[in-house]
Amino acid sequence: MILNESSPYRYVPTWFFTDEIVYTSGMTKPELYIGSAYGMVGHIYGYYIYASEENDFILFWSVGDDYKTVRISMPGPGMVMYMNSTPINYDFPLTYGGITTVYTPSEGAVYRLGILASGCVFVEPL
Amino acid sequence: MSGVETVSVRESTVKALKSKTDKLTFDSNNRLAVQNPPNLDVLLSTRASESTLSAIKSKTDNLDIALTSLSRLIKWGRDVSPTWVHASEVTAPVAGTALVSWSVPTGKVGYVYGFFISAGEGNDFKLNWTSGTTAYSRRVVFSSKGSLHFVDVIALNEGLPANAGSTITITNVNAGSAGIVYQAALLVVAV
Repeated sequence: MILNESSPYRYVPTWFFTDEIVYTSGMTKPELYIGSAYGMVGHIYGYYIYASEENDFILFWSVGDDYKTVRISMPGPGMVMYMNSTPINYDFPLTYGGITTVYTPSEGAVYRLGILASGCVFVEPL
Repeated sequence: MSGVETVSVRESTVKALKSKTDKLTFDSNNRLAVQNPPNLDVLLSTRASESTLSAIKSKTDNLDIALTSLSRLIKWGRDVSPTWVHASEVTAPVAGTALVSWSVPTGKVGYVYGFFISAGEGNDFKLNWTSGTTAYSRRVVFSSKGSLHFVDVIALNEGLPANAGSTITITNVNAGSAGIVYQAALLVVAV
């Protein structure tokens, strides 16, 4: 437990990463899913996206049927990493969330996704 | 061990025990007396009352609140905790569409600590607010598709707070092309 800018009772966030994914046709699109750990609320403090090609990504989080998204558009090969001490979902702690690719990757394209979150664990897609 | 030696050892043991028991004293009722007993009257008179303990607890409880306020002051320059205002994706927005908007509550002023813009093509964007009698804007240029997540500990409109009841928006300058997705968000706080 740490003291931070908003509450002395927030938990230390942790990075959740996929392995480096080399896409081959027929496989599931690169994606990463997290869910709130038992008895905790999930907050997203940042994200990491690496892609060897242009694509769009959807960072999403939900509680029940209520659902919010942030579209991160990559104009070409590259990496973006964002993090801040104010959670992106400050007023909307998640029970389920993740990052997914919008478009099907090219054969052999390389991806890696990450989310910086507190109170969460890896989960399988719903 | 000889018999003489055994008696000698026993005597020394008894003498040692006697030196200890000699230190014990008994009162007239043969009750063991306690040497230098604590003064219970003094102890009871100096013990904190329940109300005093309760008052101390209320102070220590407030310490958590004070530390939180202090950490916010250090982080944001004022005792605030900005939050994100999210908006849904918009496809092919007409020019000047408010991709995200936030109304400053009555009796408060608004500060913008960050924004998010995502666009599937190049375009210009404006962050708009009104302070006093002047309308302000900050232009953000996208030369091609992409996304931008910006946050700082100094408000973008520091010294120029958005008026109470006014609306802060992010708008696209040029119309979006057919099928192209846009999205924006604001990190704001009312003071």
